[in-house]
Formats: sequence, C-alpha cells, structure tokens
Amino acid sequence: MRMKEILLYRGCTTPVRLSEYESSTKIVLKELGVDAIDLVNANCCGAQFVESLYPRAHAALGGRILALAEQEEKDILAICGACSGSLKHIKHLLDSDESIRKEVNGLLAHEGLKYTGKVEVKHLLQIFNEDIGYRALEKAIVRPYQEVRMAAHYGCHVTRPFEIVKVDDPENPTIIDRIIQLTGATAVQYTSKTQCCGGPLLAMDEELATKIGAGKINNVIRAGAHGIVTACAFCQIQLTQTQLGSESTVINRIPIITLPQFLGYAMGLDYNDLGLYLNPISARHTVFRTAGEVA
Amino acid sequence: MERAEDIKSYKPDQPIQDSDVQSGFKYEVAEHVGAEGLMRCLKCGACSGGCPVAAVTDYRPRKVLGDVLLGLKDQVLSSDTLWLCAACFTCEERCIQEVNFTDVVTVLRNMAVREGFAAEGYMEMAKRVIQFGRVSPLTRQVERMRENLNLPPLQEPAIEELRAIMESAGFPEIMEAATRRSKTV
Repeated sequence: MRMKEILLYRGCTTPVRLSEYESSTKIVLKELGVDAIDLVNANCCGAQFVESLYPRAHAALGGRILALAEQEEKDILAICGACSGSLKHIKHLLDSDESIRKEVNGLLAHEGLKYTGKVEVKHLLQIFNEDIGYRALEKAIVRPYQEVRMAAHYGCHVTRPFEIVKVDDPENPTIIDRIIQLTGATAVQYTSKTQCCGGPLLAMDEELATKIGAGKINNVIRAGAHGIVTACAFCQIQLTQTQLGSESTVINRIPIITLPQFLGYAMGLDYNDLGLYLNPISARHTVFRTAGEVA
Repeated sequence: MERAEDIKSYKPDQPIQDSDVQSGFKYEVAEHVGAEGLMRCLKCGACSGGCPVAAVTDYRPRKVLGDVLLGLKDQVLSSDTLWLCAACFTCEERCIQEVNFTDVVTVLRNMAVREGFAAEGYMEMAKRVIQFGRVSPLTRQVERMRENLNLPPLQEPAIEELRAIMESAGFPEIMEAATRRSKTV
C-alpha cells in the first residue's frame, strides 16, 4: 500500500517541550499508513500572543507556513491545538479576504513564496477520523487495555469554532472517545468535558490558569477515570503542570497521556519508543500494565 | 462551593460618569474584521454562562460587551479584563446572535495595544517569539531527549525570515506603541 504523505507542522512548543508527542505521532501514523514529513524552515504561527498584539503580523506568519506547504504541494498536519486553530483561521481569512491575501503575499514575495489557498490544514484527530478510519484503527489494536477508564480532553482550539476548524462536534465531540473505546478501555464522561484547560491564561494570571486546570482534573477524578487522553501540546503540558507543585489543589494526581502515545501502546508499539517514560505523571504501573507488563 | 471571598475580583470600583462615555466607540470596533458581530449583541449573557473564567472570577464577557456598546472606550481598552479571555470559543459557539466574542476581544486587544495598553505577559511572549523563533527556547537537554526518541536534530527556527516578516508587517512600531504608555506613566 502506498503511504499517504502529509507535512507535519511541529509548531514552536511541541519539539522543545513535548518531543514525545512529536515522535509518537510519527511512529503511530507510519504504522497506520501515513507518512508525516517535517515541514522544514517553518516559523512559529504566532497564535495568541502575536495575534492579540497585531493581526497583520499574525496573518503574515501563518501565511508563510501555508505558502511553504504549497511549495511542497502537500497538506499540513498540526498536532497542537493552538497551531491548527491559528493556521485554519489564517487560511479562512486569506481565502475570504482578497485585500489581506494581497497584503500578505506582498510580505512573502521577497522569499519567492505565495499563498494561493491550495493546501488544507488538518488536525491529528482529522487524520484518524477522515484519512485512516476506525476500521483500520480497530484492526491495528493488538494489545488492548483491560478495565481501564479514560477521559478525553479535546482542546478548545481543536474543535472550536466549528465553522472554521471543522473537526468534530464542538459541544459533543466523539473522536477521542471512539478511539479510547477501540483500545479496549472505557471512555468516561465527566462534567466540563469540553471546557478549557486554563493554559491560555498562563501569561496573564498563573493562579487562575491553575485553578481552571485543577477544576477540570478534579471532575475527571470524581468520574473515576485512570487517566486523561489529550490531542493538543498546550493542553497536555497545562493539565500535567496544574497537578504539580505545592500550590496545586487537585484531589489526586492522574496521568495525562497524548492520544498517539495511548493508542500506540495498544497497537503494540514500544513504551520507550512512544516516549512514555517522559510523561511526568507515570501510568506505567496502572493504565499500561493492564495491557501486559511494560517490557 | 466557592466562598464569595475566594472569588477573584476584576470589577472596577468606580461608578460610570457621563464623561466616560464615547458613544461612537462601538462603531469604531465593529468596523474591524472579526468584530462585525458586535452590533448584533442582545446582552443575553449566554457568553458569561459558558465562560470558564467567569466560573472562577467575577469576569463576565457580557460585561465587556456591555461596556463596549455603552461606549466606555478608555475603561475597556485600559482594563486587565480584556486580557482574561482564554479564547476557548465556547461563547462563540453558543451565541445565538453570532457576535463572535472571541474575535471581538482580539480586535479590542489590537486596539488597546495601539493605545499603549498591551498586557505585559503577552508582550513578553511576543518578544520571546522574536528572540528565539519560538515561545520556549531549545536547550541541550531537549536535544538529548530528541536524540533518545530518534527525532532529527532541530534546525534553528526560521528566525531571520520570521523577523523580516514581522518587521515588514510593521510589528516593531506596534511594540513601540504598546510600551509608550508604560514609559510615560
């Protein structure tokens, strides 16, 4: 079978703070017939910070990334919610507003780049849902979890606003839940499932960000879950660090695991290759042990 | 349940005066791309109802919208409140009038920056993006972690291109405008 190729836009945070998310995405997708090739020479997308200060610079940064992908003639895969949201917003803006498109192309011209709208931006969840499909995922499970209860956290910018990102139902998302079920685990429903992790508030008010994150963690623990499965680099980092430190108000600690790590282990991939030893709150002796001892 | 004294307050403690009102403000805001929905707001409060920040503070998206519609330009643009939106898009998804509050907030922030009221945390993060090409710098430890995961060494992010593009887009002038007020105060 010929591999489907897609350009992995790694973003600015994943490669330096969550390289296990990057590597597990690549090996899991390869196993499922998708080759995620690095988009090289890319820049930070400028989500949130540049965006809030100056929209023209944000449009130019996103436009450059999209134009680089056009040169390669391949669609973009983003695994961070901030990146996928930002790039989809910029694509929407450039496709719908000719004057902004002209302006951005003027800024890109000196590098010989041009945005014409040829490539799509997809979040990881779309690759599973649209390109690979649940039947292929089901076939790939060789080491199912036993009596494990997992809570899905989708990430605000992954699923909202639906009109622009078009990933999953924004109020009742199901992609991660379906994948959890396929691995043999039970997808746990909990209060505040679609609520923010608090991460975007870190630059303004850390105490507030932690309070929002901890509130969510506590809801998950009360629902009896053994872990949380995420699909955004910032959510993964925030939901982890909100539990650490003496100020944390979580009632217990619970492992946070990225979706490709969680899925990959059930597919028989190696614990270390998936970078699971890097997750600060380990699930080695809980979630993963139910699928058989970690080698 | 939270006790009232535990809830963080972001409310201004001054009553509104006639002189605070600039009635044209809402039209000024609604002219910007993304903020067109502002004029459709019925102030129903669905935005505040689903807001994760409103759940733990007295910040209310409806109040921000109400203040803009009333014309409290200086208060809105200079307030920390403006930077409390987590941009989670819950209100945007639920708003029956398609006000797109998250986008309105982005427009208000862009306006605030030009008036010299950028939130410090945001300025710091933007400076990091310009300095390192990313919000978190690359360290030797990270390089080792990547080696262990069989990931390719990280190239320098395209910093030169990033700076060039930010410069030609006029970002340095914006950063200067954003800091002008903090210097004069």
